Amino acid sequence: MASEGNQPFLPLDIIINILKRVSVKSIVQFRSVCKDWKNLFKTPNFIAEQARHSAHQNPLLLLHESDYDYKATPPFLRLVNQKMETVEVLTIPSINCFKHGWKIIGSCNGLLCIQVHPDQGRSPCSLCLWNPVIREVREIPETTRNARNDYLDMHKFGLGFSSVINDFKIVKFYKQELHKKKNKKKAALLRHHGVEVYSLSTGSWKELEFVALQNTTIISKASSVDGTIFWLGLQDSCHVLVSFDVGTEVLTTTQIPLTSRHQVYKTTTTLSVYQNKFAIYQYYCDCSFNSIDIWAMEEVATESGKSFSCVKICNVSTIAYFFGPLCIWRNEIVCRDEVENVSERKYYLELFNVTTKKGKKFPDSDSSVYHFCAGFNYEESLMSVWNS
Amino acid sequence: MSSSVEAITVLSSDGDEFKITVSAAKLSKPLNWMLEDVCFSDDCDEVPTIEVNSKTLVKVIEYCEKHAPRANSGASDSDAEELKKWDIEFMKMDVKDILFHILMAANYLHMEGLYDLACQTAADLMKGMTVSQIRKIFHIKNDFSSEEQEQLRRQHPGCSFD
Repeated sequence: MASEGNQPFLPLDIIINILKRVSVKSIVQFRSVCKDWKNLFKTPNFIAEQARHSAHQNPLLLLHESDYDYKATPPFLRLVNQKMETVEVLTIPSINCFKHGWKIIGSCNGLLCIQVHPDQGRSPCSLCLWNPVIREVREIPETTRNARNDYLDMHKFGLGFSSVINDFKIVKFYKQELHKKKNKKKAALLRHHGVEVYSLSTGSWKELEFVALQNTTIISKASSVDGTIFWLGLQDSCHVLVSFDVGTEVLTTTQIPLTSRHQVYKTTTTLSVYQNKFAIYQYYCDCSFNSIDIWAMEEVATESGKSFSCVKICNVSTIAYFFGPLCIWRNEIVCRDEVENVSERKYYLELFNVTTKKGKKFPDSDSSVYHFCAGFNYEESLMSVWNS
Repeated sequence: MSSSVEAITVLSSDGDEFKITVSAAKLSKPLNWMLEDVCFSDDCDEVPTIEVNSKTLVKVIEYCEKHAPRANSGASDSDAEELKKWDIEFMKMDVKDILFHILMAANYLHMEGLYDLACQTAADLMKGMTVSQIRKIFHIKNDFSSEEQEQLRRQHPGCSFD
């Protein structure tokens, strides 16, 4: 046993067992140790094992801030750690589709799904997958359903990952073009008319059965937890939870007893994860009250597959102040509000704890001048955008 | 095996004798097999050798003795919490010299808990190390040609070979 500093030669399987517990940041740095390591870090098995070890440990908060005028003020993407400090400002890839308007529509296992503004970009892709840590970007081809007059919020998307089949999938609910429906039922135009799914490993889109979703309109952004993607939908003015199983590609809807409050001034309903469960939180306010409800969804096995039952786990009412919730991060709600000065509008970010009913200001959020802000849970990973 | 035996004697690879209680030895599958196969009663003079050096074996036995009560009976949450704290302290020893030996021993003795703990400790230690420090502790040679290094630097700005 050669001993330099008395260190034995470790067998490869032990080295691999150590390396899969190393942070993604360090792995990226250690690619230049030797060729064997560089190749090891690219194997699907290692990537999956590494992800398993770091899963749900320390999600960072990804903040995407942007302004009306895209060219005057480029968007700002940053990662915030558990101490609420900005740890990294992400460099946006210098490829064509990022030069114009875009937004993040999903964050899952280290991959971000980006939707590109079709009007300005005229780029061949309308969707991109991006892993910022390993600096990989993949343009996702257009579906046949893409129309020239698409606008940014016309379709609803979702990104999910199944560790069972080790594949990412993107789901797209599309709406028919307006001019083709000449007559009568205008209400029908608001509904989604079909759904397609893109698999990262096959690299192609395919149409899915839509029967269960007749008369359903997706009204929320997607959220994904452990191989399932969720959306909130409206079916005959009732709220439904739409779920997509990434592994089996089965779509289901579940009725949920969310309160519709027409009289309130503002309602925001968002999907998220709270205490390791998929959750829905609803924020509403009018002149006299502000309130937050959190609902947790429990998976229930039924004869026809899986279903969800909805349990209200938290109601916080009479919150002293008004805020705009962005997302739930580490079981606290990230909120944003504006302060109006004489000269300009400024925004600040806060973390609100529903148990203590107290908010904590983000230390470096005082001077934000961006009008828009979106928040995502983000876990660094080695997952390649090219194949799973 | 006589049921009266509470501790057994083993030899390290350096030839030193160590005592380990039966309940602690049960944390290791190979040691457990030895317990079943070998006669450990008083009149048996065969002392099994464990291919682990003395310095490392002391630590391994210390770990086993600490973890044995919980492994054998199951424990409350407060015990688990205390044990976690103890593990952190235990791993604060002179790791640079002994950690890799403990890893090899835990692997050889099929001790899952200690193996995971030691792997995690090693992973945590690697954080913040430079590439050349990593090569040194793992005895790895830089096998990239200068062209390959150049190419990697182009692909991944900021990547370092030192």
